[in-house]
Amino acid sequence: MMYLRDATRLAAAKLRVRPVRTGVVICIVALLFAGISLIAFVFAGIVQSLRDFSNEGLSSRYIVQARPIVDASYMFSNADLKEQMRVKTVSLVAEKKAAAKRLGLAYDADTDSTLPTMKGGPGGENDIMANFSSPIVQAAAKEHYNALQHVGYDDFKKLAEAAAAKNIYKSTYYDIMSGSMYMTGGQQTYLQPIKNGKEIYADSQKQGEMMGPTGFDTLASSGWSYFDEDLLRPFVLPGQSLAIGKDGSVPVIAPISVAEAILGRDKLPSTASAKERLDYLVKIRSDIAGKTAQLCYRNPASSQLVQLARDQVREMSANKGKRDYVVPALQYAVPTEPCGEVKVVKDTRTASEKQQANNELMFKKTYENYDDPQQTITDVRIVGLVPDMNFEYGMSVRAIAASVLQSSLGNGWYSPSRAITAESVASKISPTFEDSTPMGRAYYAEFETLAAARKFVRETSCSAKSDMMTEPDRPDTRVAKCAGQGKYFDSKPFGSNASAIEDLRQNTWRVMKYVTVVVMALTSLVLMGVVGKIVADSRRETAVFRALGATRSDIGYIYIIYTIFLSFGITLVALLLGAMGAAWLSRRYSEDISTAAVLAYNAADVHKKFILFGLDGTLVLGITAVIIASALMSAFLPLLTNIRRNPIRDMRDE
Amino acid sequence: MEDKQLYAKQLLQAVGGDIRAALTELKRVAANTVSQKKYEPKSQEVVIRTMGLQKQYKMGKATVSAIQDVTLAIHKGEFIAITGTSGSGKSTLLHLIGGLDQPSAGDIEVRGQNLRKLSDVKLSRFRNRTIGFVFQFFYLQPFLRLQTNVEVPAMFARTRRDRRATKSKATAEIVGLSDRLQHFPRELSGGQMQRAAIARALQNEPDILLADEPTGNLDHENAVAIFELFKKISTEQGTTIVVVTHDMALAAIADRAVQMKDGRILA
Repeated sequence: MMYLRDATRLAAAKLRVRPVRTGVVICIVALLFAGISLIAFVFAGIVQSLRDFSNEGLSSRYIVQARPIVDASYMFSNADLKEQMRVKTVSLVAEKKAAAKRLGLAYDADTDSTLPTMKGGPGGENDIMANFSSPIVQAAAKEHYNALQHVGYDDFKKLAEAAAAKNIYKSTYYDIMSGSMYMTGGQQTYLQPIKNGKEIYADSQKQGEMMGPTGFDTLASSGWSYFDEDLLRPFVLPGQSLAIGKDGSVPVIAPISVAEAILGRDKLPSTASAKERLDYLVKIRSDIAGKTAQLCYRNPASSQLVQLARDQVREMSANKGKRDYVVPALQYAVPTEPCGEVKVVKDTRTASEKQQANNELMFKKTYENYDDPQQTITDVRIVGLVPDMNFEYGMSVRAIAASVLQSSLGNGWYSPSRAITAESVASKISPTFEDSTPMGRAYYAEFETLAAARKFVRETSCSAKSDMMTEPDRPDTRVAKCAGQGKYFDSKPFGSNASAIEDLRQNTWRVMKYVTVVVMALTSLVLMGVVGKIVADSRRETAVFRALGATRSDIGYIYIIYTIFLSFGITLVALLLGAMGAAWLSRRYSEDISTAAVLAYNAADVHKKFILFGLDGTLVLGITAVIIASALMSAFLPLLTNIRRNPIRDMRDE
Repeated sequence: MEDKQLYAKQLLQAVGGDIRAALTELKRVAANTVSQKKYEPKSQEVVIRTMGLQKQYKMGKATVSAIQDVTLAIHKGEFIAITGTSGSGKSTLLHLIGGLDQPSAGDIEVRGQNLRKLSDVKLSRFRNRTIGFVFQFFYLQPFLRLQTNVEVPAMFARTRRDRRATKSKATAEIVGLSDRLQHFPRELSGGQMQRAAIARALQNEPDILLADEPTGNLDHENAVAIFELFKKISTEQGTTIVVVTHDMALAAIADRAVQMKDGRILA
């Protein structure tokens, strides 16, 4: 076979024949591949931008969050617990009845919502179920959960250490309740913001927008979590610290809408431009850093009294002047001071009524875990911001970007674990913190590499599905299934989009493969026609070369190189068109997405750009290879036909 | 009778209607015809031998005989013209000799090699090394300079660049195009393009040069010049040259003219 350089020379000369037709062919075929190139450039841009933004917050770290797998249905579907509680209910009812009789109180077991069981189990009205708001049930459940094997922090630590985790943490999550509507007993907590010296009660708070809870309501919707400082540090605003303030204020990283509420700013309208959003964020950040807010903690009794006082005021105001209206004998005043004690303003009860009330109080304290009213103010200091939960839906680029880009920490309230001191609100929220069940726990292991983190997730996470939704009345079999696999945690990447980006990359590649095959097939058909025509038009030339002594291989060689040249032309035009398209898209949407990304990641650098145009060498090479492969495939048949022809026939036709 | 009329017509066309020039040409042809009768080959070595050669084509359901029982011997260094009217089978015979086509029957031996027994690759090598082809339409690559065009057969022969450059310069010298080597074909006249094609045919120093109507696209002056060039090459280089032409006057320049009609050799 002839030398490569000679074949190349002849093929290159051939390219110059009919340049217009060759150019048209290149452009038409390139258009097909320009689509793939466009996707590739945009995809590379997204991945690069995501990586760039990933350096914000925790995203550049490979952390795995593991939550213990426990049977959440235990409290309401476990037959033993139900039976145990039924027995306790029987004895408690007997006890309460006797005590009520002794104290001269009326007692109706059917309306007692504090008993360990309640009516209306899965078997119908007469069936019973454990009342999980009952302290007795909760105590039994806690005992059950804390006795579980393999799900403790020490168990997790052993697994993480074996997997060479470089750091191991744990966090505690508090489910915060706000307002009287949540007053169902148990360990729920009531925190109300104090604004301009006034306690803001739940029902008088500005209701969250239709899109979801915002401002202080986020405390109830997203909870308050206590993390190791190491995990919170990347979210701290410049000049702020995670230490407890000298004034005793608890450092808090809170959603942006909380900052808006504290600063008394209105939320930006959804029509605000990207620049307005960024400017707004910059201003909010600088204005809120170090600002304190007061929260009022009230225990259930205090909260109940406030509610009662407010109801009385409303009732008396509504019935003012009505002859038949009887004012309450015991009247409470709504506290005038923020987080103040609820005081009695008028008590016209008779001695026996007072005795009766005292007896009721004693009864509650004895049988219903009643505590005297307590309230205290706690100062929180905003030291960092996280984005609010995304409630922007729809098909706008910003909405899509916002839904894809998620905060790397979360959307709730976050404070360092050391803020849980004896005096802190956290200790009041859950005085039994150390004994809390594994259900509220989360453990964290940090790894050096993404691969190590993913491996740990694979090895520790249980893939069995829960059947709680399909079989709500039966114990969840998932726990047993997972135990069978030797897995006791639900593990997932935390704080980092690295894993998601990797998945996105792999999935996009997977989709791209199918798209590529289809485009290849289409292109091959088009190319086959075009290259077939070019080769057919070159029969005379082939015949002359054959007459001059070219073998069939020489002819094939020249045409293969010619086809490769053609492919390079197609690749060049396809990449150029794709790049131009991606650059246009980036120019058109980058500003909006950048803003969404800055807000979603709460990026320190607000001028960071999310660019929809990126260069990935592998992708470019892949596209080039695909185009060359398509072109060669399409040239194969016509070329084979051409070199098999008798040259003299083509000469004679000429 | 028809042949004679056709010949007279061609002759007049060739000399531009000049009766005197036609007469001079006729005398020269007559002299040659005489000399042909007395023709003695320069060498006794037969380089091309056809024996009972036949070539048939299928045209629809009909079978056309392009070559019928052609037996011919061509000696080394001989310059032979194959003449005949259009469709007489002269080009087909040339293609069979050049290994571009295979006979339906009979044999062709070129330098002792039976072409029917050669594989496709060996036939390619045979065409590349033993044969040099010259076509009516030159078939030069329009986007290659003349030197590269001339070197194309050497590329197929995997000749080293320096050697083929030397050779292309030498062949350009022979055909009188030394000063045109860096030109593109479009910058040359018809005659120069055919000279370039001859140079290309000579690039691999073939034993045999086959030319199919090489002057069909040239004016008389250039046509004569090309035939004179063939004569020179045959004489000086000892190359066997077989030229197909329908121009009897030009054929007279050759050492020997073989006339064909209906696929057979007349003389």
